[in-house]
Amino acid sequence: MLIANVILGGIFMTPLDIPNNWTILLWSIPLIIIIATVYKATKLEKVTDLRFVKESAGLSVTIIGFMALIAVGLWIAMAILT
Amino acid sequence: MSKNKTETDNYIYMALVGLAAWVVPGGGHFILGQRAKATVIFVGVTLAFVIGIYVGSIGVINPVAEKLWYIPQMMVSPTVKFLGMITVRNELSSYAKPNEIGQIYTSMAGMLNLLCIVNAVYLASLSGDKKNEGDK
Repeated sequence: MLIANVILGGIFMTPLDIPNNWTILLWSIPLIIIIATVYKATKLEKVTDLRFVKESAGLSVTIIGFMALIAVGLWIAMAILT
Repeated sequence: MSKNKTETDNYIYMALVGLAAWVVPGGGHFILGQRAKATVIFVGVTLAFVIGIYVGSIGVINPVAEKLWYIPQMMVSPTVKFLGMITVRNELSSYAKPNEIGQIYTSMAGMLNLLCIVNAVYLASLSGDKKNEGDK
């Protein structure tokens, strides 16, 4: 347990200091790219060709685009209702 | 009799593939001979998990206080239990936004690995069916 503490200490023992503003939304982008890449890896037969990269990038952009659209839609709805 | 034996072998094979996929992300696809896919899955799932514990510390893995988040986190690998033990023993904690981002990343890594486990088991069942057809 002590060895694990020494190895993990410093890097993984203390949380990052993240400001509570709009920049926090940017943390979703790496996760979306990872989700799209792994999902496409399970769906496509080959992951070594360019099609895999294109489809992963396309899915990432689609997810980000639709999330942005939903955010704008909710913002408009809130502006109208309040 | 031999058909039953083959079916049993298939189930054992599928269980082994599923277990390998859980123990090491991408392990199931590696056993199935899909090394490139296994690498992509391993890098993707591990990266998401490591980013999660880097942002929120290993305090985001808390089997006592955050049981509901702990379930998807455990889907990454059984070694997550070890991290949970460190958290509980050292009474580590994470709060606010780093905790939220860390939990989302680590849980999504687990859910992604669950998807890969199901996919690997499905592919193993298909390869078992093909083998059976070849035997007939």
